[in-house]
Amino acid sequence: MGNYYQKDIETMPVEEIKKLQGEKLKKQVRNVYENVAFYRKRMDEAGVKPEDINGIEDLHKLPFVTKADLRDEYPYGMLARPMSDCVRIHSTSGTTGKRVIAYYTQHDIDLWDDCCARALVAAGGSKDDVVQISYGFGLFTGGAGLNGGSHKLGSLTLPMSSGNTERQLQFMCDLGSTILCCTPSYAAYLAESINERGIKDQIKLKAGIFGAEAWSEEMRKSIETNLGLKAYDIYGLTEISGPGVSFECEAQDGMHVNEDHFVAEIIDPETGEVLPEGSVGELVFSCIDKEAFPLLRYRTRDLCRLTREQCSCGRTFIKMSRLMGRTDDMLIIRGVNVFPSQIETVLINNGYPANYQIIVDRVNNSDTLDVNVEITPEMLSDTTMGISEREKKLVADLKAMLGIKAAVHIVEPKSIARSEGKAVRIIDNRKI
Amino acid sequence: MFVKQISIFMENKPGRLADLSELLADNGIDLRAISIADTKEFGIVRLIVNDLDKAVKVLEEDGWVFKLTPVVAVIIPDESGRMADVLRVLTDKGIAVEYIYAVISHNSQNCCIIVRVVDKMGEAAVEALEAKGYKCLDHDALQSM
Repeated sequence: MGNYYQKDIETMPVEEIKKLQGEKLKKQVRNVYENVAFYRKRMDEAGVKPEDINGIEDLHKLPFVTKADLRDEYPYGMLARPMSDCVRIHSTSGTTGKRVIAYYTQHDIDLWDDCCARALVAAGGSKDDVVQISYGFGLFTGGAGLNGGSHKLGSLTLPMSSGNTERQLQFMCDLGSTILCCTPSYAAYLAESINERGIKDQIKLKAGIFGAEAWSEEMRKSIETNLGLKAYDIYGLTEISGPGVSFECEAQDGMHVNEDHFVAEIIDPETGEVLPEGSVGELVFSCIDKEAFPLLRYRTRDLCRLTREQCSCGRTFIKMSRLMGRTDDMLIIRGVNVFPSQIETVLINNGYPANYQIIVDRVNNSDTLDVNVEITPEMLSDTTMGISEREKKLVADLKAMLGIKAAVHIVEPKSIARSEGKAVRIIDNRKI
Repeated sequence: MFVKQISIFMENKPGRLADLSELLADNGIDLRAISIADTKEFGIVRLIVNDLDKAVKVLEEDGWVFKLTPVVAVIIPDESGRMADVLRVLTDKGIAVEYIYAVISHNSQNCCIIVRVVDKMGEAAVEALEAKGYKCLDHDALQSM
């Protein structure tokens, strides 16, 4: 049995959770039907009325919401509250410039903070901890989410944001940070930097909450050994709220979904049918408690498995496994969502035919992104400098589009591997 | 008064230069001059050949990416200080050089240096050199050298 932030909720008997979810869902469906034209239209098209939803078992009757819907409804279409009730936005990185904007009322922020506080407590946190938050701050939800949770818990919060390793290490040593929140690859990088400087004896970390990108058990072990802490996974997405939609407990064996706020389903990505517990399929979330941006049956495109098996920590919330992949071609690189179409857009904007290949790998526990571009006569110069300038321009434009650095290599024509005449666009060599 | 140089993109991989040389040899193309600029990942092979049209056809058919670049071919006596003088002539006219390489002929007292000046300064370069008595070859003359 472990520590809980909200014990009554986190250990509520499953039947009661389901009853609570049913009540909240009923209210939410009425709310969105009345206040959001999109839901009214979709439900009418599907022949579903709010009165058809009388409990959580009726959830499957509702139509799905997809990322494409969110783009179509940009920027206000999915808002269920007047703008004046909203207190903040966050945003995804967006593919071709069109982002998804998620709105939050104070109530939405409060429940998100609670979710993150639960994650911190599950990782052994309390008001006596010093929580170093090295996720990015800004439109990205990573920094804001854990920052809110740490405040709520009453811990001393260090809103470091990502990058500036020297400063990270200085604060970590001088203030004696006990919990580190960042992407697993940044944790691995910090561990390396600590070893290089020989300052491990000054590090007081006991736990780390690492999310926003996929990682392996092997990587967990290595981070735990190198930083001398226990490493916990956390999951979330901006569309649903942010980190803390689900979180790992002391068992370190899957993430508990905060079921009083979010209902998880696993569906067959082809047919949309709900799959029985334990099946691998696409993860779908419904926000039954949010006010401003309450997505119902949102298809995450993440593949995983759900289980209700009793957890040794005493929590009754359903657990989701590590992510097992995606149903689309999205790559998560250093915590950032990257779509091949974004890279294609940059190439086309630079006047190159889109003959490219993306190679993702993990070197020393950090993701690498390489983009090979086949040269064309238009790109050619008779000086190496002329070609290097083009490479530099591509690197800069890719950084602006993706938010992360890619190494660009200009290669000979026909050197990109083709299978049955079709170029192999993505090679992901990471072993997760 | 320019000579056409073939500038070929080549990845910095073992065997590629041999591939290119063999392709040209198999098609009976003779090199007049060669120079390579290389980086860690790729190089530009610059060639002057005896049969430009044939070389272009062969390279196209074999899928190489290349372009034709006009360069200045200056004849200088094969003696100390001559290249320095050529460069001084260009520099005094404010004409910057991108790169330079030389062709030494066995059966002549002269040699030829190939000069690539910055874009749009080619005519001015030829003019300045000829004003100082240097001879710049045209493409046919160099091909048949």
